[in-house]
Amino acid sequence: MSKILTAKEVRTEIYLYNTLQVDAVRFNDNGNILIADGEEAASCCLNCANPRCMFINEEASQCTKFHDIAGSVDLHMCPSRAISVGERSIEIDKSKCMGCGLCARACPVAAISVVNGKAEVHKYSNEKCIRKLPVTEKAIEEQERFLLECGHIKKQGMILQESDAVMKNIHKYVHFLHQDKQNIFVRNLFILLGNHVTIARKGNVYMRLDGFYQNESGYGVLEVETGSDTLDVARAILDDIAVLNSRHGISMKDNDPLAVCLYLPNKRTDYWQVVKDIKEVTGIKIRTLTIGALLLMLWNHVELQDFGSFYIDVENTSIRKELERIIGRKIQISIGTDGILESQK
Amino acid sequence: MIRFRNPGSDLDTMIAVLKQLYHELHEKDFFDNTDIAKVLSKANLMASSGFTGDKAVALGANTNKSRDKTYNNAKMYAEIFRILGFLSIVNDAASNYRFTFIGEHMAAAGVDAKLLIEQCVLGMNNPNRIMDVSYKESVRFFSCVLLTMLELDDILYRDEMILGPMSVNDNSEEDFTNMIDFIKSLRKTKSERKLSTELEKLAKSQTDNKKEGMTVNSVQNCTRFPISVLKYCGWVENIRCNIYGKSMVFMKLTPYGKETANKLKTYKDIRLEDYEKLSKSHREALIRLGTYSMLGRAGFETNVVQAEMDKDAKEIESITEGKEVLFSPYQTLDFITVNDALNLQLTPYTASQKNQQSAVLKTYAKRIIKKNVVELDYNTAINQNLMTEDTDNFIRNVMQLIQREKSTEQIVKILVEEHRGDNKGEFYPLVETLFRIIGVDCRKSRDGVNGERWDAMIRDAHKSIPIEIKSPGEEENVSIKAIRQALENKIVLLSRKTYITDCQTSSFVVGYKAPNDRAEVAELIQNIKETYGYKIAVFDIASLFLMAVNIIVNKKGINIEKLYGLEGIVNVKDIDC
Repeated sequence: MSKILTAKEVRTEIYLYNTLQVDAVRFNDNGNILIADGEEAASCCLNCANPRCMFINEEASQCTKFHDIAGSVDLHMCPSRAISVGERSIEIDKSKCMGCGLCARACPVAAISVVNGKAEVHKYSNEKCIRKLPVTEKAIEEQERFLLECGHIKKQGMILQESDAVMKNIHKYVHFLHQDKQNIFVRNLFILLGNHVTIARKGNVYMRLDGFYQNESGYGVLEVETGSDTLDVARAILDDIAVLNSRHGISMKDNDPLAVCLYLPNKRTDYWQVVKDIKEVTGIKIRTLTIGALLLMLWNHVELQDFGSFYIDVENTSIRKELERIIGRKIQISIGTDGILESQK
Repeated sequence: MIRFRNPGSDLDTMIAVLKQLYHELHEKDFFDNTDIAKVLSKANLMASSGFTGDKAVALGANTNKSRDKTYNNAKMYAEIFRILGFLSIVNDAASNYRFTFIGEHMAAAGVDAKLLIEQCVLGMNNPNRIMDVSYKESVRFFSCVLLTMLELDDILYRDEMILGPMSVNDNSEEDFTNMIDFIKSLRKTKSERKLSTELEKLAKSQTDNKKEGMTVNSVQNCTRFPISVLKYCGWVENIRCNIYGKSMVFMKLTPYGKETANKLKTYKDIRLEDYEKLSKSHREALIRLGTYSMLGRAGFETNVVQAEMDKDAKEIESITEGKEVLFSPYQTLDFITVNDALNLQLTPYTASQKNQQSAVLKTYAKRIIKKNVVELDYNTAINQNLMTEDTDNFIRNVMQLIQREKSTEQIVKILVEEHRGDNKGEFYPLVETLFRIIGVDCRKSRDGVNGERWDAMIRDAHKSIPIEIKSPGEEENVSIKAIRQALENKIVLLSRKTYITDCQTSSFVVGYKAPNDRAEVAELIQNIKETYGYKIAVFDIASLFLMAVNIIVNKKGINIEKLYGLEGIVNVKDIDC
């Protein structure tokens, strides 16, 4: 058949910096800065034809070490789908935004900030260093070349200053996300930290694992728990490893499992002892991370591709020290807050 | 009542499936369910038994099409895509499909195809010429739900949706008003019981697969697809309301849902019966206007067809009353009629192409479930050292049944039935009792001892066995979860050395009934053995009864040495039965 109609172009214009060489971007409280050839300019939304803040790179949602998984096809970056394309810039629906900063980290030119718990887009306002382009194939190609270059630039400053209140607010949102969206959120966090992650599509009762990650240091199964049933996470990981070993040829000894929780399990739960038992008997080291810890690394521009140091058990139920080492400073979250960095009770 | 099948996938996945199908199959004159299954498996978009790709096809394949998992999955997608107007049947063959003009746009839409999905969702209407369904309601369902919510303070409960929009002729203003009044009257009763009674009445009045009456559960299952669609489109969100005397989760119109509902009120909704009253030229004008209007609302550029749309709008102005048209041709009419009106040419079908295009799925070997038969052929007797008050009571009960001339088989049946409603408090001691009669020192764990993760332990000087127990009150059939817990029990016991055991000794699971998905549970047990080297054995309560009763009655049982090394789903065989 013929006569396919073209989709209406919502964008009326896209933008490009006059320079092709950006040295760094800096996150500031009062507007982010782009640094090129020693000069500073305000960051602003380029209204990208291929907006990194809206969609993850599809390639990063696939793991070459484990093809045999029906992965989620949801490529949205924002777990609450608060971002949409506008005529002159992307738009953020603040009623949906949970202020997690995923979009801010994903934007190559730091055109998004998180202010008072909500993402805010810096829109073009006749900056001298930026030119407007019509939405043509040629302009889109030019913009894409520029953005690819930007992928490697240095990022300075913090996307968001952590505090007990900030973390509690985001936790509240994450808690109420549908489980599929929580898993997608975790996937996107890991991808932005430099990993490849596939999240299993819902409804596949035989593929019980939540996901699979892969990076330069290794690969393994991923289980996400946002409730209090953390003991089930350890059991699920043992199940995942057995199934992958026997049915899919992924050897137990190469499989470095990761448990991602919203709250670290309480000290009095048996999770920590069971994790130790599993290590003693099978040699499997279950690494335990929290969504809050991943967010802290995200806001501080960390690239994390080795989870080995996040093995904790009954001997030590805190990841604070390790996280402070990675970020390079003290973390401004009170001891025990929401079980983000250490177990409560 | 309208029946929606539950496709088991979210709309994002469905869109990805459609795009992949289009990518692979759009150049074909037609394709069938087998072609769809092949494409989906190849692209990892469909799984069978945890596998994707060729393995999925192999494992799901069955020479009997009705049991072929991948084929049936493909069939389900095809059905949903037909309802949404993306695929149509060609050549009058029930499973020869082509992409419709709308389907092509769906495949070409960017990553975010939500607006076109919305239009196709609103386009679903009954009756139509595309689906042969058993229900008789004349309704544009999703539009009816939104308009119903507007009339009912913006909220609707799942069961109200069944009694209302799923069971109404919304083309009759009187029927629609009566339906609204009916739901309002139910709400006034503030009685959940009254709502349930009405639902039971409706369920009983339904016919499903030529069988009279449906269960309330089956009726409620029909709401899964519409509720997920309403949420996906952003029209509703969950809210807790106390309308029927207790707090229940209702759907509430979002501002966007309300905006959509109000827009719908301004459209001219045209159904099949209206279409059939029109002249040929009016029909064609309506098909073009309906199709292009849908695409325009879905964010496609209609400039190139604007002149045609204006001309058609003028021609049928008396029918549309100058309003925007709500009419989805591919979801109402046959493929050829719509394509002719849109002047879309198709490559003619030739019989020889059928053979070229149909893929053939081979049947591969299935997963083998290893049988673990335990024969009660070992001469044994009750070990008096293991007897307790509970074992004495059990033995007395069995002896009484024997005196009533019951056979072993009948006794087991009676006992299984007696314990159908057991919770932990009754079931765990029962398991302890049965194992003690079988001849091992079994003790259930004390409540609240965190370190003892198992529910009971067979204590032995060298080969202790942890037991994970699931009472019928917890789960009727042993689940995957219980197997996981049995593995954890084994690891914890080996690590903490609370009782002495070794790697070769089993870890047990006892449940009321054997697992539903025997193949998957048996395979997981096998996977655990291959990966960690530990054996897990699953017993249903009937097996334990059979073993215990046999010892009491026939003094025949199992060699305890064999018990320690059992694995898999244990099938106890009474050689005297």
